[in-house]
This record gives sequence, C-alpha cells and structure tokens, in this order.
Amino acid sequence: MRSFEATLALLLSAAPALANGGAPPHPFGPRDLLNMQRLSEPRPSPAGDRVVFAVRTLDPAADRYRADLWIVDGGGGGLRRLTAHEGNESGPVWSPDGESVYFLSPASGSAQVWRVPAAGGEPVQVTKLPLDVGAFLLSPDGRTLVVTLDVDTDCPTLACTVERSAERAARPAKGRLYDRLFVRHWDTWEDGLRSHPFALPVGGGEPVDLARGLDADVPAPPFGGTEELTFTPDGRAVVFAARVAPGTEPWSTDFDLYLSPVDGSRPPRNLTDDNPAWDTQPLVTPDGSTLVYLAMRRPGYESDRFDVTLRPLAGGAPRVVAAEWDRSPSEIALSRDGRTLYATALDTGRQSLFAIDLASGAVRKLVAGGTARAPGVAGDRIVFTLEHQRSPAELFSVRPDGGDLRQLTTFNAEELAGVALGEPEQFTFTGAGGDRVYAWVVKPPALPPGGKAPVAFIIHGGPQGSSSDNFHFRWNPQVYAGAGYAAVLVDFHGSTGYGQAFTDAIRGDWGGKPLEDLQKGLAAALARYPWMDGERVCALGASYGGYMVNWIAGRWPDRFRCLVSHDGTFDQRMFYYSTEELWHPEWEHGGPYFENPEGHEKHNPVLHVDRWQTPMLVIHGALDYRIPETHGIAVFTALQRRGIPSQLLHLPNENHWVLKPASYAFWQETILAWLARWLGPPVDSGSGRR
Amino acid sequence: MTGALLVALAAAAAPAAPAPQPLTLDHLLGLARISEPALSPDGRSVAFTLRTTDRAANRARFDLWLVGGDGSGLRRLTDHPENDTGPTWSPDGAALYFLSPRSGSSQVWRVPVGGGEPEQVSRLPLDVAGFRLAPDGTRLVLAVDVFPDCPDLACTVARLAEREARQAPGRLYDRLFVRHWNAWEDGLRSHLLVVPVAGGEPVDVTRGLDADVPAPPFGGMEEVAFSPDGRQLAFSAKVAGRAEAWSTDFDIYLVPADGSAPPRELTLDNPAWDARPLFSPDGRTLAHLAMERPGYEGDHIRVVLRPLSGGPPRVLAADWDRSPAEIAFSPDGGTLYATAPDGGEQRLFALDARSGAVRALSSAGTVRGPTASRERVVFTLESLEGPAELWSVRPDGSDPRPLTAINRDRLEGVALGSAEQFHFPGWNDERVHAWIVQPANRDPGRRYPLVLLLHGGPQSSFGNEFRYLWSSQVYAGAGYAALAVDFHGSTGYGQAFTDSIRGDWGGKPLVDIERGIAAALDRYPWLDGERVCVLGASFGGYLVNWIAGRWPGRFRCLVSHAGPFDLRELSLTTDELWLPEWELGGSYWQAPEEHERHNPVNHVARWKTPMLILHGELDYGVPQAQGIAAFTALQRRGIPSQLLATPNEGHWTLRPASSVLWHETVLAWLDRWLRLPP
Repeated sequence: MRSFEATLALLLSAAPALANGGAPPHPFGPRDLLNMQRLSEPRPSPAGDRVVFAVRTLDPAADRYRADLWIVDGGGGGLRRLTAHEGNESGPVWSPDGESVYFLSPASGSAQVWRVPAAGGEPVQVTKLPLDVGAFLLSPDGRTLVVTLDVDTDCPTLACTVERSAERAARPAKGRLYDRLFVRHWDTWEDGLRSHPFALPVGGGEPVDLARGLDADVPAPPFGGTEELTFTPDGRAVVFAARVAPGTEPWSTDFDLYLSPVDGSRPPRNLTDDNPAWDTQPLVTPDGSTLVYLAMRRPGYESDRFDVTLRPLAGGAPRVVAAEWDRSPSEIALSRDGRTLYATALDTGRQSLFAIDLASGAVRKLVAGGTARAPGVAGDRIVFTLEHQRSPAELFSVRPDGGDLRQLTTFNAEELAGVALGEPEQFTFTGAGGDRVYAWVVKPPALPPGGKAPVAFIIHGGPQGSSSDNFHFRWNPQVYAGAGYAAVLVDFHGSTGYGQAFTDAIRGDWGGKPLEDLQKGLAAALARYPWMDGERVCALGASYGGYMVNWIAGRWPDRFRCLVSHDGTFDQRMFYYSTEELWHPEWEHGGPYFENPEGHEKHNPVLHVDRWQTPMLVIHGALDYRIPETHGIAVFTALQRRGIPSQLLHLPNENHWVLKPASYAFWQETILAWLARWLGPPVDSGSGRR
Repeated sequence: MTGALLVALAAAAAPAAPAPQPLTLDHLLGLARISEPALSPDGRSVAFTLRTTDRAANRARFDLWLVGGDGSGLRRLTDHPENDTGPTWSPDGAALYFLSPRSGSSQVWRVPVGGGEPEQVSRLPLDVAGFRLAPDGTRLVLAVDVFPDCPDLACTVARLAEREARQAPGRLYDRLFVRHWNAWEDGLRSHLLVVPVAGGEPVDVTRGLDADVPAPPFGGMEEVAFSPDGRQLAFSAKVAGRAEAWSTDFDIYLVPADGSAPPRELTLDNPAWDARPLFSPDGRTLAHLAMERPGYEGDHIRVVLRPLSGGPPRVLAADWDRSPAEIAFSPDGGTLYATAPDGGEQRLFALDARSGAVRALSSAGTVRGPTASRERVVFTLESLEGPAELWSVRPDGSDPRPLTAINRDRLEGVALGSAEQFHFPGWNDERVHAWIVQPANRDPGRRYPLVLLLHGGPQSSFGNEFRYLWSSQVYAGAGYAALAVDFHGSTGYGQAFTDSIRGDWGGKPLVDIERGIAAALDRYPWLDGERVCVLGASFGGYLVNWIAGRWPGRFRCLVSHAGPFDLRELSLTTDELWLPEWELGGSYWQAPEEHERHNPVNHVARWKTPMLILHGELDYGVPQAQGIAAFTALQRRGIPSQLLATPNEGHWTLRPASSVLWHETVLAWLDRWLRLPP
C-alpha cells in the first residue's frame, strides 16, 4: 500500500502547489486550523451522478461554524452551493427521482425539514412541527418522512409536550427532581424528554410515534444519528436501535433493533432480544429479506468488536459475516444488489475502507491511506470523505474493486498552499509483553539540518481509541509541528485498529501496559529520530490521555519538563460515582466501586500525589459530565498545595471537548504558551510565524 | 430576661378562637426578618432593616424602618422596590445613610429622618458593596471590587468591558482560589476607597494589598472601623499570597484615612485569625477578636485589647470559655457587649473592659446585632418559638422590653410547636444538649413520627433560634416532632467540646446521635421510635451519608443536603482547604488514613435506607459532584432515592421559589416514608 499512499499524498498536495501564489508558506498554527473547511455527510444521488454534502465554514464574528449544502458531479465537475442560509443546513437526503434534496434547516426559527431543487432554486419548508426535528429519513418511495422529536412520552400529542415544556420553563424554581439515572449525560442535564421517531406523510399529516411505549431515546444521545434507523425497502416499516433499560440505563449497553410499521398498526417488535449486548446500525437488503447490522457479544463492554451480522427478517438465527476479520466497523453501506457491505474501520493507525462479501465473508481493502468516512454507493463507484494528517477531508470516489481513486473536491487547497506542514511517519517498536506497538511522529516542517526539536508527547483518549492518520480539529499534531515541536503519538495497548485482543488488553491494567508502551515508545522514537531533543519533552493528553498524564505525574515523575492534562480522570473512585456512563468503569475495573474497590484503586493517580513534582497545565470544561470538572479542580489543588508550578484553564461553556472556535484558539494558544515556557524556544524555523 | 417573655409574645399572637393552624411554608415566607439595628446618636430611635419576601418576583426585599427607643412610632423609612440596607446614622441624627441599587448600580444614599426624598451620595462607576461613615460625617469608606493593579476605577471599568466583549470565556488561573463559596474568581479584589461625602476623588487606602477587604464570602463592614477622630481606619485582611486557600491568618491593619501611608499590620504577633476591629470611644485602644491556632476556623475566639500607643495586647476575660460572635463598645468604653453561643442559646454578655468580668444580660433565645447607648442596649431576639423582634435592656440586664412586634399579625392564627431543651449522657457519658420541638397542636392521645435535624459546620449549633433554612417549625407544622442534637463538636459548650470532633467526625457525633434519640424516646413517650428520618446539610449531610453505611437498619428514610460523600475528593475539590487539613490531619497525601477512617464512600456496600439527596450546582464548598455520587451509589444499589439538583443555588437554598420546592420535596419524602397507615 505504500505506493498507494504516495499517490494519495500527491493528489492532496497537487492542488495546493498550483494555488500557491508564491508567498513562502508559514508554519501551520491554530488559526490555520480554524480556517479549514469541514466536509461531511456525502450523499450520492439515486442515479449516482451527483453527490450532495455539507461544508462547515468558520464565521469568526459569530464564533461558530456555519454549515451549507453543496453539490458536485460524480466526476468532480459542476461544484456549486445548494443552500446559503446563515443557519446550519445539514442531513441531506435525495428524493427518489433525484430532482430534489431534503435537508434540515433552522431557517423557520426551529429545526425543520426543507426541500430544495437539486438543480438550484428556492428551498421550501416541508415540515412545520411545533418541536425541533433532531434527524430525519425519507421512505424509498419518497412519500413518508420519519423525523425524530424530543417528546414527553406521557403526552398523547406534540402540543402537550410543547405546553409542558413551556410550563416548566416558566416555573420560578429551577430545581430538577430525579427518581433515577441518568440525571445528566455528556453535556446536558436530563429534562424528562425522550427522542422518538415519528412517521408522517411528506405532504403533511398527523405524526405517528414509532417507538411508543418504549422508555428509550431513538437515536441514542449523545452521539447517535440517522445511522441508527432505516426504512425497509417497501417503505412500510422502520428498523431502529433502542436501549430499553428503565432504571438500569447507565450500566447497560443492551441496545436492540426494533421493527415498527410506519402506520403505527403494531407496537415496535424487538428483533434482537436474544443478544444482551449492543446491536445497532440496521440496514435491510434490497429484497427485504435480511437485516444487516453491527453487533457486539459482550454485554457492558462498549468497545467490544462489532460483528457484521445478518438476520432473516422472517425469523431464524443470526449469522456473523467475516468472523475471522479482526476489525470493528465504524460505518457501513450496502451495495445496490445487497451482496456487498462497504465498511470503514480503524486499521493499524488509519481508517480504511473495506468491501465485505456477505455470502462468503471475504474482505477486501479498497482504500488504505488516511481516514475514510461516510461511504455511500454512487452508481458503479463508492463515494466517501478522505482525510489524513496533511489535509482535512475532501470528497473522493473509488471503484468497488479499489481501483481508480479520484478526488472530487479541493475545498482546502488554497488554505493548505499557504502553510508548511510537518511530515508524518509511522513506526513500530516492541512494547509491553513483547507486542508490536505502532506510533506516529510528525517532524517540524522547518527544522534546519542538524537542529534538534523538543517533543510534544501526545496521548489519546478512550482508552479504546487511536491516534490515527486523520486531520484532527483539536489534538492535531501539525499545530505542534508548526510551533517547532516534534509530535509523537503512541497507540498503546488498548488502542483500536490492531485487533480485539490488543484493545481488550487494557482492561484492569490502565496504568500498566499503556505506561510501559509509552516509556518504550518514547525511547524508540528518540533512538530512531536523532533530530528529537530527548531532554526537552512534555506529555499531553485528554480524557484517558489526561488520566495517563495524571498517572505519569506520580509514576514517572522525573521524565518530563511539563505536563498538560485536559479533562483527565484523577480519582478513579470519585470518577466511578460521578460519571454518567457507569458501564465503562464497571467493565474496565471489575464492577461497581462498592463491589470491587481494589479494581478501581489499583491504578489511581490520586494515590501517588506524594511523588508529584512536574509542572502541569490543567484544563477542564464546566459542561463535561463524562469526567466532571471537579477532577481538574482537584488536580490543580494538589499541584498548588504542593507548590508545583501549575495553571488551570477553566472553560465554562465547553464540554468534554473544545468546540467553539474562540475557545479552541484560547485553549491551543494556552497549551503552546505552556510548552514554550518549559521547553524553551523551539529551534528557529527561519520563517515568521503568524 | 427570660424565655417566658418570648413565649408571652408568641402567645399574645394567638387569639382565643378559632383553633390555630399549623405553620406552613406560606406562613414562613410571609414573616418579616429584622436585622441591622442601629441606635441613633441620641439613643432615642432605632433604625433597622426589614426583609420581606416578594413571592411574585421570587426575591427578598429589604427596606429601612425606624422605631422609637421606647417602642413607639414604628414606621417605614424607605419603600423603594430595590433593596435598601446598611442603615447608618449621620452624627447629628438627622439623616440615615444606606446602600441601595436604585440608581442602577449599588451606591450610598441618604434620607432625612424627619421626612423627605432620599438623595444619592456616592456616584462611583462600580458597585459599592458596603460602607462606613466617618464619625464627623465628612467622609465615607466604601468597599468596591477593583483590579488591584489598576491605578484608578476607570481602568477597572475598561478592563471589565474588555473582558465582557471577549469571545472565549475561558479563565486561566495561576493559583488558588479558583472559586469560592458560589463564585468563580475573576481577578477582582474588594478594596477600601475613602471618598468625601460631598464628592471627590476616591482614595484606595488598601492599594497594592493582595487581599479582599472585607473577605468573601461572609465578611462585611464589621471588618472596617473609623477611629473616633476619623483620621485612621482599621480593617482585617488576609494577605497570604499563594497560601490563601489554606491560611486563616487574617490580620488587623491600620491605615491613615487619607491614604498618605500604606496599611500597617498591627497583629504580626499572631499567625492565627484576627478580625472585627473596634476603636474604643477614647481612641486609645483597639479591640478585636482573635484565635490562637493557625488553620483552625473553629478555634476559641477571644477579645483582645491592643493599646494604640504601643505596649502588649491584653486578652480580656481569658478564662471565659465562650466565643463571641459580635462585639460593641458601650459609649463610655467601659464595657464591651458581646453575643456568644452559650449552651444552646446565643446570649448577650457584658464584658468589663478593665476587669474582664463577664455578666449575661439575656437568658433564652438568640441575640444578634447589639447596639448600645448610655441607657440601653438594643438587639434582636429570636427563639425556636418565634422570629426576631427588636428588644432593649438596661446595661445591667434589667428591664428587658420588646420594641417591636412586627410578626404578631403574621403569626395570628398560626400554631407553632413548643420547644424544650434537654440533655443526656452522650459519648463517654459527657453531657450533650438537644432541643426538641413538638408537633404543632399536638394531640396527647397520639404518637408522632420524629425527624432528627443535624447541623453543619461541624463547629456550629442548632440552638434556640428561629431558622428559615432548617426550621424546626416547618417540620412541627407538618406534624412531626423535630429533634436537634448538639453533638460533640458543637459550639457554645466550651472549647474542649468543640475541639473534640477533630479527627473523629464519624465517631463521637454518631454515639451522641444514638444516645440522643434514645433519650428523646425515653423522655417523650408520645414519640413513635419506629418512624424516624434523619436530615442534615453540609456536615449534617456528611453524617447522614455516614449513617447510611454505619447504622443502616435504623431509619425509615434519610435526607442529605450538600453532604460530603467522599472525604478524599472533598479535600481536593473544596475551596477552603484549611478546614479538611485541620480536621483530617493535613492534605490527603499526608494523611490518607485520617481521610479514609470516617469516609462514607467506603461503606456504600451496606447502604439500604431510602435517601433523598439535594444539592445546589453553585456549591463550591461541597461541590455538587458529591451529591451526584451519593445518588449514583443509591441508584446502582437499587435503593429508593431521589435527587433534587438546583442549578441556581449554592451551599444554601436562598431564592423563595427554590426554598418552596426544596421544602415541598423534603416534606413529600418524609410523608412517603413516615406517614404510613396508622
């Protein structure tokens, strides 16, 4: 695949080279990152001749990204913008005749479904519901919409939900009384509403609750979307994923697939009751006979491998396809004939595109460089977005046999032409237990010959995640390379994309093998790249990466010039009791804290504060309910009380991530200033930084 | 003075018929709350602040009132809808200065006592948080939040505007505090500005001081005093640099009122808390309150007299084992009037400034806000059986008289539960005191369920006072007997009793509670010992969480408000680190065993009692994560439980609507578990 990656790099960099007006590129920085346009949601037309997609562009004055819909021919020509409202247009869906595109827009003052002629013209509002539409689907015959709405499930009508919400908002007492968990989730307090799918005619009519009687959200917050619902080919029913676990929701991962007729004639029927683990992402073969979906085997484990699973809708036993294939798909799409499943999956530091033959289980890799997302079938080609460490996502297409990869858009060509990016390289080393461990390094673009670069050692979250070949809009190694640092990112034990056994290996060993991998990985990088300055290294991480930084502070206290801990777990006991998704610590540390305190205390950073000595920048978002901000406050308190140089960056309007543009810039600049303080000036790159 | 007078007052409120109704939340919120009594220079009038509740606007409303020293001529002086507070007499007694936000920002105003429109006195571009008037009436000292490195107020105003306009609201901190009580630190410091009453350029007499004067969250202008000649100011401040979050080393400073010299520290000799400076009327002596032990906020508070001409300070009444809350000089300087918790009451005492001899001037009830003329001492007096009214007494303690009965009409037709104090042999058979309030209109033929109320602190007391949060009368009105045990660690029973809780949070108090309940059941056979719930806030909430695991079979239900659940996490996330460091033997990493010994989180495996958790999101003393964690433990164990999470309240529940929802939620929980079929 090496020659393929070279081709890809050429493709993505060719246009920038042409667009460069001659000014010397400046090193990449946080402001450059914000200026990149963000492509997503590619949707091929029914005939496959066009692709509609969403583009998010920075609006600095409003401190937000605005999303518009664009359209491009399958060959890459005819690019034009389809919607121009200042609000966010998203979720494009083609009409069956390919004449128009349905989408979600807030233009009317609430989020509703709109329609615009694909050839261009004025958008028309399609739904006028009294509640915001969360997401929607269109039936294959184009006559029925399914919209998801946050409703009070005790309410017989939408008007009743509207009234109750208004009544609640008008109450002078703001206290909320809860009888059960969740009380909050991700970045939002529970408000008693549930997202349910409703079917209604495109021409208007009474919405029918397809999940009535289900004490569940469809799709599931915080990240679920339309991939959790699908129409059957005859348009008469919808299959959706839902976790019905009243009172046990925070420790259950038992999502099931339900079939619900769109006329509401029967209640939803559970199709996967036999699997107590996670079932999701339903698709139905074109002949309507078979459900194709992703399923885990182990209840309570959110990072179990997703198996591609087939289940006859008429009844019968499910069958796992490609059981030997040791990768876990992220997104899936069915071919027109229903025989092939296209899937993206993390794959040794990349996210590759695969084709899986549903009959034989044979798996072929179609695209193997960078990160492929959102595959869709466009006639005789597959359309998807592709990004890598030197370019944000652009639209690409490829033949089903993996040949003839074509780039369809160059939205970021001009911006990329003006910046100098570092060269990424993947290397491997022998980590914990003698296992092969992968890592990426990014070299500063302007390192003079013989110069030595200080090192930013970046640790990913999850822990079941990966520092892979993508263009990240938060933990982007190019920002560090642009500032003159070498970025080193190790995919320690527990990372995804290296087989399920490697992912599973972190369970019960959070501070063990991963720390050993990081120690060996840093040593391997320094041995391999003599241009790195091993005396000047800072370690940075968020979420589990922040946990690891807090762990390093006490368990490897003499190695780093400085540390950066963002939204990191500090006390595993309080983390267990104050996070929302309890299944995660229960799986990782062997049950609820009160049943197995030793499991939670075994690798607990708070128990090693007596050895802390490394200067640390602590960062925490106030809306982070995954790892509540008290963890960051506690870390800063420990540092201050011990007299260790430290700063706390508190972000009142950010959650577990940093999403608002101005907050991102402040966050990134604060981190860079902290590195500069402790690593000294990076080697002079010889060109001005902006 | 006796409790009988108070009871008489309450009884006078009750007409012969019809039968009075038990107290409800509407009654409670309908009461008027008197505070800040201020005697006029001639001693013939008393100005005070009256707080009423505007339910429609969901806020408290403060107005200034006036009453004659003999109780005659009660009248309202200000009636603007905005809050008027801090009544301060002009030297000639013709006008009252006060604080009001009626101009759109909080400023000093003046109103003629004889009638006329209030006029605005200060016009600063920033809010005034508090003020004092110089004895000659020519100058004001104002407490204003400023950026301490700003040369003038305009700089602070401009910087605040610039910050407001910033897109990224993130805050970067280099040291603690990052937040305190219910607010995130914003880099502003409360400084003292002296300004002529007639107007003119304000002078920051605390310029350059890395401290808040007065200190948040509770400090007020009692921390600032003009000398009798008006040429000097005394104030208390903690200048602790990076150690602010774990130091209690407040000191008294003296500064020329014209700002011609920087503040000079008077109490260098004491590394513990010094506060509440008062000049003697002759200007020769500075009196203040002081503790001895650094880092201990519950230490014995003593009155110290410090000659301003130099010479060693003198502790007044060194053998008196009580800790004064407020102090005031008699006009002749011969006496210091002090209030202090005392055996379940808060009494008024007179301390002879020469001999240190101590006399009690009140007996039952809680005295606050003493203000003295030559003839009388005026103060507010309340008890478990009635809200505060103004009283006065002769300096020798004779002739106690009520000056107001503002709540008489408001309590007409309302039945309150009668209160009684008793004591029992608690931990180590040491005497422990408790108050019980009977259900209102108690029927002698019935048995009643019991609620046990546990106070916070831990160094405080549920004494003979009329509370609006944790009011025993609310439970008495709902048909419960309310028992409050002043367990080891409580204040008012001598310093040794207070100190005895250190390192033993879950030890002696639990024994006291066990024995206190047994003693009450023994003493009051009309109590139903099968139907008992325990309620507590803050340290009381900690005890409830502790009881959940250490005494799991005893109670029908539990209610834990803002209660610590995991002492390790609390010690690392609370704002004021001195408290856990004193109580638990240092920082967690220095004394892990001390933190874990009485830690509720370690006993969740035994939890089984239904529990209601209540927690405000703006509580930075006991962060809300503690309440969420306790609720998570309950839910994960399948124990019936509720969580009331209040986004706009801190450690206390202050807004009227929040208070109503809080009380209704608690009472519904008690009803669910205690009001079983007879």
